Amino acid sequence: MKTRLTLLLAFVSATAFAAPQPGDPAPNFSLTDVNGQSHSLADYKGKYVVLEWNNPGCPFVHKHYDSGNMQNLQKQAESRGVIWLTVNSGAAGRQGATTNEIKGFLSSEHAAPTAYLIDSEGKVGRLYGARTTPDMYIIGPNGKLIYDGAIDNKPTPDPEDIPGATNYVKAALEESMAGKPVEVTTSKPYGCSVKYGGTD
Amino acid sequence: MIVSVMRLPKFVMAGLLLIGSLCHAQVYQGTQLVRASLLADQTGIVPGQPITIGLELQTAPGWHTYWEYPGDAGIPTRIDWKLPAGFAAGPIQWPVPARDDEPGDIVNYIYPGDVLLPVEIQTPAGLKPGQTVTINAHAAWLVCKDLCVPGKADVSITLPVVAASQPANGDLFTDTRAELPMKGVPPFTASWSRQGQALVLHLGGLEPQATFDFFPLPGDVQIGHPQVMPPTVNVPLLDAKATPDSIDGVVVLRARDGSSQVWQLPSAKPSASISAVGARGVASSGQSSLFYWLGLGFVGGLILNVMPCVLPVIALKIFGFIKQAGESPRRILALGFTFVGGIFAWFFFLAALIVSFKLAGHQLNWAFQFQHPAFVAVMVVILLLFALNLLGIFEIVLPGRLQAKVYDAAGGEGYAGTFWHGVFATLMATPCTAPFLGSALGFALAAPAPTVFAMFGSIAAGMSSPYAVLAIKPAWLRYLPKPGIWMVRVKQALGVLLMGTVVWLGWVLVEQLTPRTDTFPAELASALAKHQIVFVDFTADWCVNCKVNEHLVLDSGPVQDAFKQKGVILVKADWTRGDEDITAYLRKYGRAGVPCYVVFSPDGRPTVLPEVITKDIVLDALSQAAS
Repeated sequence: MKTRLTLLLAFVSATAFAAPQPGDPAPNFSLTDVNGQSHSLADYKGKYVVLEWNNPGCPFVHKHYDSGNMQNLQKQAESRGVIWLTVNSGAAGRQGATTNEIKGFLSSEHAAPTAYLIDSEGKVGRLYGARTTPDMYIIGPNGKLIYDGAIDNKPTPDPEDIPGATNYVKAALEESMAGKPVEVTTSKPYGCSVKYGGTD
Repeated sequence: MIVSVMRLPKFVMAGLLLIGSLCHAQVYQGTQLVRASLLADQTGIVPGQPITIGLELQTAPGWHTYWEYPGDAGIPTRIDWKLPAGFAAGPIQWPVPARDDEPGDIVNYIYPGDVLLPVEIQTPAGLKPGQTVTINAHAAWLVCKDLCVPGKADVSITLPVVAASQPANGDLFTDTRAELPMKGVPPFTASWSRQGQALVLHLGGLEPQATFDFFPLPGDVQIGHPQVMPPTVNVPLLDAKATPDSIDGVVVLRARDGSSQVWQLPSAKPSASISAVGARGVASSGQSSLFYWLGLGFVGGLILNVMPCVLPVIALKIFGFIKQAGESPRRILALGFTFVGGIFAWFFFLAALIVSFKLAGHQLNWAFQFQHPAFVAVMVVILLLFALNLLGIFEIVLPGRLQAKVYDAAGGEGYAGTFWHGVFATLMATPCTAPFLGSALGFALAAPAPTVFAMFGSIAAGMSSPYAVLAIKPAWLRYLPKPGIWMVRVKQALGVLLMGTVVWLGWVLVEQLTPRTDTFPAELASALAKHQIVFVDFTADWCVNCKVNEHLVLDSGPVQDAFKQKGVILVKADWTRGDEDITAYLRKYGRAGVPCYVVFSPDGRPTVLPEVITKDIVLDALSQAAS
């Protein structure tokens, strides 16, 4: 029993370790969006791609949407040709995973991602090692990971903390687009846990 | 999502003093998720004395809040104090959390139920008894089940200013303090190394099947999930560019009997003060192995020979050697090894006893035999026979044949007598936990059977080595004085010394037979509630080393002055009869027996001192606790 547990832990930890690091090629995936349309990362080769893990029921997601922070970032980025893919890795039956909830969230929040992808099996979330909502990833035009981690440096659910925070995603996009080295390439994401399916 | 905050005033009567505490309920979709309130560990504020105020979060079943390092998701609870002028709040003292594994390889460190987060508050000396003080705080937390709801509340507590206060909420604070990591020198060694993309923590000095948990406090370092594979912990580093040598963390050691100890991992950079603390400090600074402990056992055994409680008995034997100096080397060799055999016999007997008790699921401690009045009574009789024999009274009292038998068994110079001398010398040695031996024994008592035997064997070897050397090289006996009439005098002097031991053991026996209630845990709790430095002296009437430490160090001028000057509260834990409560505390501090000294800082954090203390060690520990 104990050995099995240790093996399991070793395996689980090895899988977490396989998640790409900044500088590594971003692994390809294909998912269907909330409107039934299929998207593949390979479709957007040569472009900046932002992956945003989302759960419409999570208060940390609401912190950045109710305040308009996330939508502003989406619009700014998309105006410069960035593809914004919001991903929901919540399993069926867990919080914020139904199509109705997602569609309601997108319209009430006036969210503007390029696409809202459904990953109910959690395959892409696990592939990238997404742990929280939100959890942010930036992929460069060369297909390599530029940034993974938190949206900003204020790990609280309080929208009042947004104005004083450093937005890591915004900074990394700007630095990378200006041809400068990205100062912060990784940070500890904060928020609710991604509501994956299955047992441990 | 609706989060509304309800206000519920709550009044608590404690003695004649009124303590007002404003508590708040976090209600989510009609369900109360968290009830937040402030609690004090005293009935009132004594001007200039610190007081501990705890934020209590009572969570609905199935919901949890987060630890200082929340893990992959979640956020730690935050308290922003709004204090009157002259007050100052310390950091949150986080009790050890539980590990929560969620699907998708998500690991969080949580409080799965109610939690009390204590904070020490310094108070100004200028307060006047009769005033009341209101302490306000803004608390913010995240409470999660399958989903997460942030909560926040303004909480407050109103306390009277009093000249002297009583402990309040005792059980809650005592239980919480038991879950706070201990500082000081833990009963294991910790070393970090970098292996590729991971930091590896190695804990030395643990039993092979020891179980422990590791709770990381990585600060700014991004880590994956620590994998505990005793005796190591593998901590993956998520940022390839990060170059930390180590991270902080909390280790929870779990003994087989279900008891556990919570230790703050010693800082990777050893501080001068810790290494100055002595033998156990050495243990914490490097890697260690079974051989290290065995070596420590050997040295400890050797030192046992000069411990106050063994010395009279050992003197007896040295005396025997002098007498034998004229005899044939072969006989000396044979007698010498018979004596050594006696030493080994007793230690292996002890080891066998410990192993069999452990197999039967009992907790054992060092010198346990001295806690039983029957054993002490038998020892009194045997030592009395020894003493009478030395004083020359023995022969007169007993009739010829019986005398010969007892004399041969107890004090004779033949093989049997020599063997029993070895046994008795060791028997007397056990209550004296010599330098080094304390930690080595603590280690051995928790170890599997072969290690227990190896450990006791090495102590026996250490203790008997001088005799073995003298037996092999009897020529060296000539450095000892020649036999003569002085021997009779010395014999009588030893007899008097031994009579002293008999009187002392008789006193121990009387103490043991006198009914008494153990008040130690309650005393400690009320002392800790006063937020001063607390010095706990774990002692026993039969522990001569304890008495020596008390006489030479604790009762000495400089130490007494420091106690007074720093307002140290002294608590005595009397283990004469092996009270289980005290045994549990000793185990918590990684000790198997007395002497043991623990210094608590005003915020309740314990530091364990070595068995043999000096004035400097005690004074250093006191000033560290004060800072």
